[in-house]
Amino acid sequence: MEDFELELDEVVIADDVTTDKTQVGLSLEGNDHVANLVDNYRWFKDGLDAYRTGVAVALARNKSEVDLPPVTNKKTKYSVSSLDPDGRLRELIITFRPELEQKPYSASEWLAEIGLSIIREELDGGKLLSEILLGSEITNADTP
Amino acid sequence: MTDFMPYIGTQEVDFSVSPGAPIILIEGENNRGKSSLFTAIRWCLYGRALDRSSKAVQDQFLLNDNAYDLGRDNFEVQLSFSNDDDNYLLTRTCSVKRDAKGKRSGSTVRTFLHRNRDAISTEDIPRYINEVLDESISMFFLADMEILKNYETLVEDDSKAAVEVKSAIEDILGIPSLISVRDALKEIVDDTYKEIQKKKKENSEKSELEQKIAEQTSKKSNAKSQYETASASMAEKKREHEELTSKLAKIADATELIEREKTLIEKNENDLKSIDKLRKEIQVALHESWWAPVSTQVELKEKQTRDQTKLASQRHQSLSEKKFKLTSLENSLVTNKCSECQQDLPIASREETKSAIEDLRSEIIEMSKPLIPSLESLVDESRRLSLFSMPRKAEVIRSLERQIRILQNDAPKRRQEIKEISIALQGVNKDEIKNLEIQRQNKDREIGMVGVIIRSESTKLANAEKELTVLNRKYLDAPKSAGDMEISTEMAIASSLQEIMEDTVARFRIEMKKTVEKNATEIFAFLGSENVFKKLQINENYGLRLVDNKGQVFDHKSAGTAQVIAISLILALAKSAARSNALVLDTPFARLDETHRDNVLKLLSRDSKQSILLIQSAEKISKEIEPEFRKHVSRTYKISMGADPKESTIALKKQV
Repeated sequence: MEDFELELDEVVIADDVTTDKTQVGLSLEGNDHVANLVDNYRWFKDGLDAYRTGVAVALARNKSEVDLPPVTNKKTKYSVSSLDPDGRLRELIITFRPELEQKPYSASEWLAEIGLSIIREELDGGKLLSEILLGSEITNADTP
Repeated sequence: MTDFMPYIGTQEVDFSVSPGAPIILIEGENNRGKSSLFTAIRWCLYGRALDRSSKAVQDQFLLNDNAYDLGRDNFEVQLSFSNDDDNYLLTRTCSVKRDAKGKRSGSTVRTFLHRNRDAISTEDIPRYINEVLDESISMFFLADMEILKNYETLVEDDSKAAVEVKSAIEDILGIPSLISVRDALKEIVDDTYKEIQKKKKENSEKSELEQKIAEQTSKKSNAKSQYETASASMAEKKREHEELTSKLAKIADATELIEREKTLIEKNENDLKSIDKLRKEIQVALHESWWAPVSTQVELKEKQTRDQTKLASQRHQSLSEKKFKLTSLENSLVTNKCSECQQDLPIASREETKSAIEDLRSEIIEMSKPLIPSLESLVDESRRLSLFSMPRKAEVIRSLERQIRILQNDAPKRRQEIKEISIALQGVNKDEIKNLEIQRQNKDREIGMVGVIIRSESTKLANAEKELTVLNRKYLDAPKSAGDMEISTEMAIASSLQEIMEDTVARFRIEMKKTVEKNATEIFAFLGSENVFKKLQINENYGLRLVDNKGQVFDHKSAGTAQVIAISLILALAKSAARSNALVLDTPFARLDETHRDNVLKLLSRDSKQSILLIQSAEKISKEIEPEFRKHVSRTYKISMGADPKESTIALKKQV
């Protein structure tokens, strides 16, 4: 794994009510998805890209925290500075979910869990990556 | 002879002698023509005439003066003689030229020689004459005793003249013949030596050629051996290659399947590499545009934001227009003038204006409510969305994945084919086939290498053969070599012969010298009356010295003694000569006393040599010996003065 990924087995990240997270993590399932997508499907260069793409997919699919499947303890966490060095991830979340403006990185955790789960499932279901990420060409073309 | 010197007209003298009477006696007074007759013989033989001081006389002056004065320009001497059973007739004529004043200005001499009636060519005449009597030795056979100094050199030892005389004497004695044989032998030895050197060189060259031929033969043999070995190896390798090809042909199907499998696997590997590359490109694309999944939403939002911004702008514009219109209506109500045409407003219109103002105020109030979202928030939204625009990135990702999919689509079919091939090849030893193929490739390489060797050796062989052909031709063209033994033998024989001849010449010279010395001493003793001299001694250069009874060399001063010595030598030489020549003695008694004169005549009488004596009429022969002497004279001629003092005639006086 990349050097900016820290092993935090069985660590539960405390939820702060006032400040956003500076480190984000994934559940064991989410981590499994990342490993699968990076190592097996090899669509992503590393876990950070997979994480960010998962967030984008969840946003694109307009998912809410309620859609989060049951997950077990967080295992891996990324430094926010590594994950979002240019703040684009934060901007994206705020753009699509203005209500998450206060804690976009905290929200990114469940968004990533959902997005990664969707990608994994759909890839396993035989969909093309481009279909998963960009939608079907016809649909895309017909979209006004 | 005709018109020669004092002899006018034609004069003839017969020199032939009878057996037992070898002497021709020609008498004459001083200056009558004895020496002229002697000169006529010499001139006829050699074309040269000498005066009393031994100086050459020009031919035109040999013509008789009176004859010349009479207008005759030609004179002639003809000599008939025999030698070695050959008869010769020698004729020399001279045509005198006259200048404008009638003086003798030159002459043309012509010579004719017939041997046994055969004419001899002009250029060969001197050779024939010299064979009979060489001019160099003629002084001892045509002896002009009046010119004694010719013979005085005989008593000198080392002068150049003495050496010439010595040479002449040796000519008489025949030594040069031996010398010439020796020299000829020396030439043979020299030629043999040169020939030997040449042969040695040729032998050396030939030996060198033989060595080269041996080298080339060895090279050829070596190249041939290599060529044959390589050819055999080539044949073996070709046979092995054919065997391998045959084996491979028998399992050609399997080989083809293996090839096919190999191709498919390679294709798979290449595809996987391509897929991997494409995946990496997608990874890069997703790394740079991870927000791609929201691209559609971003586009929708951008459009929505644009629309909202446009509506807001339109509302703002409309509000401004309404406010302006309200102001205008309010002004027209105050001024009671139409805002458009500036006419006075009628009452009805005023009411309508008031109503319109109210409506506008309501509309303005309504339109002035704050916009949600605000224009500022829309601008902010637009800025934020611009972060996620990804022109054509999505198409790139789609295209890359499509390529991957295409490559992946072929993979199952290929895998299936590979699987089928694997099934078909079950039981086939792929390693063996591979091994056979490798072996065949190795054989190809080996055949190529052996081919190179064959070509190389073939070239060497051809070169060696070519070189050998050239060398053999040179060898055959080279002279046949002689063996070392043969050469040594030839050289030894030639050298031995040369040594023998050197020795023979030396011995012969010594012997001849002794013989001449003995004969001369005998003649000198016979001629002389003194008993004080023991002998005439001849030195290395044929110089003559008188040795007295005490063995001392006697240095004589007497002209008479010198003449006796000269006559002794002449007669000794005539006696010892290799060939018998006639003697012509001009004035032999000039410096001799009566006793010596008688002794000379006695000596000539008892000798059988043909002798022509030209003597003075005054030189009377003593009565004691005359009767005996006359018996030995075949003919006596008398030279007399003619009608003119410048003319002489010669006539037979007495014949036996």
